[in-house]
Amino acid sequence: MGKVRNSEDLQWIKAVLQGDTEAFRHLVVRYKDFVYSLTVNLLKQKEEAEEAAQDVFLKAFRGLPRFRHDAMFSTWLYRIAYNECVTRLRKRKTKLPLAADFNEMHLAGKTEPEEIHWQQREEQYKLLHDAIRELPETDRALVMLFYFEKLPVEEMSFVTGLSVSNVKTKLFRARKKLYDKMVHIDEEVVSRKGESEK
Amino acid sequence: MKHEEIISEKKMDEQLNNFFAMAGKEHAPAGFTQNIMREIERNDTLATIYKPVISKTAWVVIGAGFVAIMLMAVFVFPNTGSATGVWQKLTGIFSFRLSDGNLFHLRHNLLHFLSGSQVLLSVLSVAVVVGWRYLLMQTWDITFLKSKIIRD
Repeated sequence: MGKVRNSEDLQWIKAVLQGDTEAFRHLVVRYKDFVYSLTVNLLKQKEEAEEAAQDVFLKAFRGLPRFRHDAMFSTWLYRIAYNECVTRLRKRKTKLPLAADFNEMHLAGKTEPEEIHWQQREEQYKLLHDAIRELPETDRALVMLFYFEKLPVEEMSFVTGLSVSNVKTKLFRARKKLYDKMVHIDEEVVSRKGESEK
Repeated sequence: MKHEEIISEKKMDEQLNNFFAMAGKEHAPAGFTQNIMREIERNDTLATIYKPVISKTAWVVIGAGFVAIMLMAVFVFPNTGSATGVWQKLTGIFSFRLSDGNLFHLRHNLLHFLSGSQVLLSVLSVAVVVGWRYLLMQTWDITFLKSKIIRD
């Protein structure tokens, strides 16, 4: 799957480099959701995350001639995204309080036919992203790269600039922390539901 | 790692995978792709990759030409018998004497120049350099040429 995806990416990149700018659209469509997810979860501000995600794609476009095929295009792109967020966070210097619209913004623009299923999903969505945003920045990125993109540890190391062993350690701790939080929250929700049913 | 730890890690992974699968990724806002493509069409250009004016191959060719001239100076031309012989040979290759010492006898001087060894030597040098370059391109530098074609 990854190889097929990468070979398609390489074809589009070749087309862009030969002057077919429109071929870049395919790459944007393919990766926009994850890049946006990453920027939203790292920056925690909707407007800034959107701006950052756009900058990531523009930087990737400009830098395409410099893209060497020693990494997959997606990994290279995520590295740009990660660095963009880190730079923006450094510019802020102090950590911002959680944006008030952070939870509400997830709920906008979703269309799902089954109402009950959607409610469950919505709840899960909120819980998960609440739990993710409580993790430190690097851990947040690692967890997302691991679970959403199924990236191997070596590629996560390339994206974040951490050593492979450091990635492994951080990832394990982050997963453990996230799991504890999720299970704890889940249990709370179940017990609350049980009480209300009584 | 203990057996229980492996099981609990597996369980943890399964659970987290379920959470992530249920929740899904963020969705980029509407018009996101359009905005980027518009921005690219408006004013974005691909980065320019700067290549050295004289390529690696060219430097090898220049070096080989220089060595060829040096060797010819030493072995092809007669020895002057002095301590500064090599330098004299080198300057001798490129020196040109007027046939009768008169600068304004153009036709005469030109014929004298063409009949001299300089012309033959120049043609020979160019042939050596071109041949050497062709040989290099055939053997070493095929990948370099391919990447250049793709980038261009």
